[in-house]
Amino acid sequence: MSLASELLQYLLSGLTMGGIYALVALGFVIIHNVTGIINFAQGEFVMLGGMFMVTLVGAGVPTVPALVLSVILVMIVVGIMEFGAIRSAKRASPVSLVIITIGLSTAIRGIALLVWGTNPYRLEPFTAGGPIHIGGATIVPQSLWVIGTTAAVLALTFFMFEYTYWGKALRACVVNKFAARLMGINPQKMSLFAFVFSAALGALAGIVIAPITYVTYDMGLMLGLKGFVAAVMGGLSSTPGAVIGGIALGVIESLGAGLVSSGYKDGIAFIILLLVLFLKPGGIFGTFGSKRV
Amino acid sequence: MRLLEINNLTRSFGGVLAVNDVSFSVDKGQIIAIIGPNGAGKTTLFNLMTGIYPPTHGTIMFKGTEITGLTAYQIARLGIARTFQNLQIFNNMTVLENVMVGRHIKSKTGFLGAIFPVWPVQREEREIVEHSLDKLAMVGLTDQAMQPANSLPYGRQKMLEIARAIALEPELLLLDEPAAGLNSTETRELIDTIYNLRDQGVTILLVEHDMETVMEIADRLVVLNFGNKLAEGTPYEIQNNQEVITAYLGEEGSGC
Amino acid sequence: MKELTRRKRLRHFLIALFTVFIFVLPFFVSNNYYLSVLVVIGIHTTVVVGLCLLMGYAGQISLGHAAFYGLGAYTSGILTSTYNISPWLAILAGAMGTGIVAYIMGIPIFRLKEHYLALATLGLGLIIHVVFMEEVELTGGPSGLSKGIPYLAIGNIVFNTDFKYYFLVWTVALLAIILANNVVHSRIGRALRSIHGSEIAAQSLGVDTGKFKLQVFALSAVYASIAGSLYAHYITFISPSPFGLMTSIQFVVMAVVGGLSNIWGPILGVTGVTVLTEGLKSIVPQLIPQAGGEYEIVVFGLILVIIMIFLPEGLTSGVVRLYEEWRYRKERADETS
Repeated sequence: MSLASELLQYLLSGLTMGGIYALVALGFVIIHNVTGIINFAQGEFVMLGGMFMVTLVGAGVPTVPALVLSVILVMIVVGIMEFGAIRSAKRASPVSLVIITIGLSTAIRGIALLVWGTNPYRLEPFTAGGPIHIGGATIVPQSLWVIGTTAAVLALTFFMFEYTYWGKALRACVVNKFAARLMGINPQKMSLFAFVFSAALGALAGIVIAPITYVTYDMGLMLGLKGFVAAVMGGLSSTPGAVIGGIALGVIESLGAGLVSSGYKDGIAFIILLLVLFLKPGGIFGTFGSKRV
Repeated sequence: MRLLEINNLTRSFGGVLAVNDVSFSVDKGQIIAIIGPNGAGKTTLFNLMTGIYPPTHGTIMFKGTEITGLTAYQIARLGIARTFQNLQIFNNMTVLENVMVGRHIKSKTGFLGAIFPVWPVQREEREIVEHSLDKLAMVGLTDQAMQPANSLPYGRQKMLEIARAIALEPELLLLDEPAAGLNSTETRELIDTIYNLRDQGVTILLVEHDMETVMEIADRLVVLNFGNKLAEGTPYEIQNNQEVITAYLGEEGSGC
Repeated sequence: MKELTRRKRLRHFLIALFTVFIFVLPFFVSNNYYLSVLVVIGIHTTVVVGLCLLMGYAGQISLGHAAFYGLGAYTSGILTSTYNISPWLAILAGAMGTGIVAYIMGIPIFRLKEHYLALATLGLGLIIHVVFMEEVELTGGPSGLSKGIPYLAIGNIVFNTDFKYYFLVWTVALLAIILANNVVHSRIGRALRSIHGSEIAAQSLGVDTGKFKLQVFALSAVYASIAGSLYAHYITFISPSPFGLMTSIQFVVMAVVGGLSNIWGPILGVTGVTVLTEGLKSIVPQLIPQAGGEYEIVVFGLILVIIMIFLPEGLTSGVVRLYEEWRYRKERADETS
């Protein structure tokens, strides 16, 4: 394989994972902007989405209803979580809130372990067919599903932000929480909405990636952290930044794993994280305003 | 002797000029008040002087050396202490311990000494305690020394902040709205404390809203309006300054 | 002044009492399994005491402490097994090396705040963990160090049983507690707590907050490293798995459960969490036979959430607060009746 086609190959697989990271990062940014919480449980939403999907399909439910049902189930679980834990701790310090979401993520992972065990589950690709060849590189049809779904979900999200009441209210909170409250937007409802919406994003990511990576009870940990890295790359408060950060991280990781060392693949993401934090704490694509004391 | 000299000090926040080309100086042993309506840039001026953030332009000289651009802790070490408009008490400590932190720069124990408290370390610790108790006595908080700091009522917490600030034996003390939220007895105590400190040689610069207090205690006043220096002078001069009356005192009622 | 001396005496008395209790305890524990749990509690207490200095007094979270624990373990393991260096020298080398790594990495990390700081320590921990996994020639990779790590020995006494190791580990743990207690009640400790109380006020009193954060971060890393070395010489085999993110989180849980701003917090937190984990390990398989793996993390997570919501200051301070609130309400009720 020539270097060019090799690079194309890394780019394509990078785009696939990048799409997933983008969805997770978007969820992070929405929750962070609305509630100020860094939600370490975001990756578990992805795992739950994949697990519900695998279980429903295994029980004979056709793909589309299974997908819808899985997303709804994750939304319900996260809704209960927000209502039960996050709301009761609204007055806690930022460090306590970080610890609470770590606790929630650990608990969800543990429950998943009890329910589904340690075995990896495989989901059949959405459409059958062999790999597609593009200019010397190959791509499995499911990757196209991932990229397509990501694009569609992002388009839908931005459409919602632009044209629906809930979307506009959410965006208002994202841009300026205080002003949003003055406009009569209920922050408690928005917090619930932000969590549930991010849950849907995460669940979808988990469902479309399931046929490619297998689903395990502990897949959420790394995915969540990588999504977080992507969100930080994008500045942590910018929705387009999160998407670009996600895709960039996917591609860099894939190139790094291919060209440098596959063992250090996970390390690359966190080295990028440290570099971004140290050199451009406002994110590569974000702006950083000075704060008044 | 010029203790503090502020030259053409300017600070903007994203294009908004919070402090614009302000110059004035403070002589040793004086009580100077900075007054002005809300948003005039008084607290920003304090934050610039204490190194919370650097100025956009201009210089600050303390005892003849430039302190512009130094960090907050470096400025504190040179002998400038301050209190805060919205209280910054260490809620996780007792009243006494709060003041003991004020002795930080007057003591030396390092990490090694902290881990292994040999005899000189213990002696220094005793000195810190004695000194801090003195300062608490000055503001009348001796009986509350062992209480958690956050159990004090608001007015007492403000006095605690003063005790903590003077524990580092500053030459210049900045008080940000010390009388705000105090009742008349507490205000009286505050004024006595300020006079007391002045008599001990501490120069005092304060931001204050309470006109009565300011006119009573200040030797000189600096008036700020929208970040600009409007006037400077003795209380009598300021009270009769037409510009000040229209811009500032006028809005508080013509009775002044 | 009298009150201060009284409080100091009380602290010293409690520490002395606890020391006696610790050194008498093993003579009443005949079961080897229980002894090994106590050894592990001692090792973890050493880590958590350091972490509490960082979190409770300086107010800085670290989600990467398992990596420092691992650096100590690997330095000891590699130097003693591959290079035949004296175990005591290796422990010292590990502690110094880890302290230096923490100090250097801390310089950029501590320019960050809250979420970002948590994330940077997490990232650092994960990177070090990846190095343990990937530097196969040095660390043996995922399967661990192939050569055995020797037992520790002083003269003719070889610490090769749980009973003997217990005394060694708890001597270190008690020293860790006593030294940390000294730090807390010193000029340095007050400076650290002032950072937690209000960083801006601390600075305006002349406290170089950045320097102290770095120093306490390095000190807590040294604590973790020494504990890691003790772990390596106890198990005599190491692989990367105990030094990952879950262990870092576990240390934070222990610190938080016990309460951060009290020297008894770490002991209570570590003991509570360890007893619970060990208990669950023996109970859960009887209730749910098909469960495999680390199912106890469910309870782990839930405890963390519940404590953070209801007793955010941890068990030690939290229980005191609840008691005081109850007493206050009771007094009020007595007055009105």
